[in-house]
Amino acid sequence: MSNDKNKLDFSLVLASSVHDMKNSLGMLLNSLENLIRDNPPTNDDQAKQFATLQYETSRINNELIQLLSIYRLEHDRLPLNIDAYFVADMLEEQLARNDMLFSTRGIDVTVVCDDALNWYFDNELVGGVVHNVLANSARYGDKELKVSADVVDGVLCICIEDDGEGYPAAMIKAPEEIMAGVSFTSGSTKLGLFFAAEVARMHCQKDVCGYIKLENGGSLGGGVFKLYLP
Amino acid sequence: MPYDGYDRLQALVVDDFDAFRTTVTRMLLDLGVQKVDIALNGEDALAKCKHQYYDLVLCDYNLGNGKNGQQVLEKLRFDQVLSRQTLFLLVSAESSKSIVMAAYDSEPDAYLTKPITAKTLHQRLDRLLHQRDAMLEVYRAIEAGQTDLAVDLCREKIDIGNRYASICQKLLGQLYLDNNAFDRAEDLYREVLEARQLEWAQVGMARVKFGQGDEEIAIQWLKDILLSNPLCMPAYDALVACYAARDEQEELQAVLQQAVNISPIAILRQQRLAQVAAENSDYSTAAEAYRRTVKLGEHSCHDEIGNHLSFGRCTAALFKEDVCLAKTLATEAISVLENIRGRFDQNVEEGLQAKFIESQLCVGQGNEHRAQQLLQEAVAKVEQLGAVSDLETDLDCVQALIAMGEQRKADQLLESLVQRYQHDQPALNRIDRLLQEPVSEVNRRRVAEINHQGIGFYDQGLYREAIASFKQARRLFPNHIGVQLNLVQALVGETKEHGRDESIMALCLGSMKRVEININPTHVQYQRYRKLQTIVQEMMQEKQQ
Repeated sequence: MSNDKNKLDFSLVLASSVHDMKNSLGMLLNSLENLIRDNPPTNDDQAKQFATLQYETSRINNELIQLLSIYRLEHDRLPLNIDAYFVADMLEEQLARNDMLFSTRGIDVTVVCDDALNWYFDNELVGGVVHNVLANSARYGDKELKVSADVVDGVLCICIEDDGEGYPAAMIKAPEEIMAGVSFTSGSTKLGLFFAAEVARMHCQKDVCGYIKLENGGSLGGGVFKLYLP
Repeated sequence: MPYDGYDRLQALVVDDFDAFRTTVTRMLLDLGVQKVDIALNGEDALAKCKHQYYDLVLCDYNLGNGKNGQQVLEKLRFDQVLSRQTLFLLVSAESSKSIVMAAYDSEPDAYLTKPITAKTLHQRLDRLLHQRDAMLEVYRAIEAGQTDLAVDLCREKIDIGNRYASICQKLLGQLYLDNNAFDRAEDLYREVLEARQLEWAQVGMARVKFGQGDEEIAIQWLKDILLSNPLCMPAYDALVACYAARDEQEELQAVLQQAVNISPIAILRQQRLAQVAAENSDYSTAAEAYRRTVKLGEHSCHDEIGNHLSFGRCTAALFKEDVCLAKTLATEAISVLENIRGRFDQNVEEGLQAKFIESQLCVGQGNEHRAQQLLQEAVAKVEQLGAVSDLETDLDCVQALIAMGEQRKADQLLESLVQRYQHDQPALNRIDRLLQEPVSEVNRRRVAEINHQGIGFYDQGLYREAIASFKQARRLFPNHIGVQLNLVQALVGETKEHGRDESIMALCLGSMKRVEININPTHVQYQRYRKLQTIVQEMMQEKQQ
């Protein structure tokens, strides 16, 4: 009987430890940013190393945030807060979060979105998804990145395009099933895509639910990520 | 759209970490902010805000010892130090959602999540400052009590359809509700809901129904909202208002309990739960909730001496129900009572109450000597004063006398109280709770009526309805032996009909325990009590097999 009480809920332990790691990493990211700001890179090699430092720390940070969100999702502790927001505000906010990363990697960002475009979504969750895709595109893209948003037939489509190699063919076929094949050897859990698909799915209007779509090509010839929200 | 007035702004940055203060201060100065002050902790921040006007306060949630950022904000709003013009931004390493849960009366103008970068801060501030300037006339009208003007301004902005239309819709709904313009509020929320099922409008609509007197619909809608989002705090608060208006005490306690489980650090909800549980004579819940309320009060502007006394009072009452739990709480309750003098400016009555309550707790702990000493001190003081003016003090005295075994003296005091308050029904209601039989005519009739109703249900075999009636009577008159035994009998009936149930057994045992304390062999109900005791014991044994 006492055994049951003493038994650790491992997922809870994991969640709180992830929480701690995430906070420490946040501090680390801030110091890193100050450091780069006070000591701008003096050559290309340094710039590259700074970018790697930044990308990798921010990638761990994102992954931890998503882990926590998925934990909360499973325990019904992730409330959906849908309200009306300006899409351009949300996009700008996420671009600003990744600003240092774009500039150290020398990536040009174009935004195509009507300032007055107003839509219904959970700002924090959708912002998290966009943030993650942007960080990814900064990593895999070369020189250019394009973010656009528009409403077609009552569905908001947020589209993020890069000029990199594009997504592997298997991923494009079934992005939602990606979690089924969590691969420890390839070094990626594709947690980001799983999270994106979940967040999209949570956004429903009447009988229609949101979804994500991956493509190659687009206007920049690289990977294209599309998030559809009814 | 960049904001061009930074050079006119004054800001305050609050954090106990030097690195954060330096970083944010530099970011603000880079934006051109005229003056940036810093504060190292909550007290420092409060002092600075009292002396000087700030356009921006950036405050970390975690401020080390003392008040946290949320409590600083609460205190500033409580003392009305912050004008609507000041933007208060709460900064934290947490995702904002877990902190939003804590907010009760005061929400900050924005949450910022660490890490903060120069560019994100710039954008957020641009947007917030534009919004502040655009909304200022509306807030000024509300603060000046010019509701009509505020309504007109909101409608104007909604009609223009600019980026503040959504904020204005929420504000307008609230204005209508506050001023009992329910039909207008209904139109507004319906229009919003036709476009999208947004939660704030759903809650608003439920509050409209409540305002129009249709509580049943309101309760149903609020329950539906909570079913799809169990973390929607405004829905809990609206539901609390509904149950309170209908005087449905058990549902009220249940919904407060749910809300408190989700948001345990909101002190006012915790306090409300404690009060309601105490009214329901559920002293284990009440004592625990008061304990938490006292703890949360440590750095809060909502700390009150009454909570400290009630923590002791409920713990003392718990000794009649659950000695084990009472003993674990008593030590803490005694130290809370003893610290009252250093914490509050207590008046004579409150000082006496603390002594009477502590005396009971000492009896419970087996420290008769100290209990006797406290009781004598307090009684001597009362005699010196002639009489006390607060009924609460007298009732605490009655309880202390009973705990000490001085039943005769307690009865005498009760008799004199009944005399003194014979024309004060609310006072008599409180006195009646301590008596086995209500003394006031009104309450005698009341207990007879509810009892009669319950017995009617019981005779028809409607055990659940009978249980509900007797529970209601027991809540009003927890020492009434007849009521307690009726409840046990109905519970036994229910068990025979529908099988055993843990919660029913617990209720049975609780009631029997209450009776055991009050009854003696000469009581008219003694035979019945013995019979029911045997039946309950048999039921317990069957359960164990």
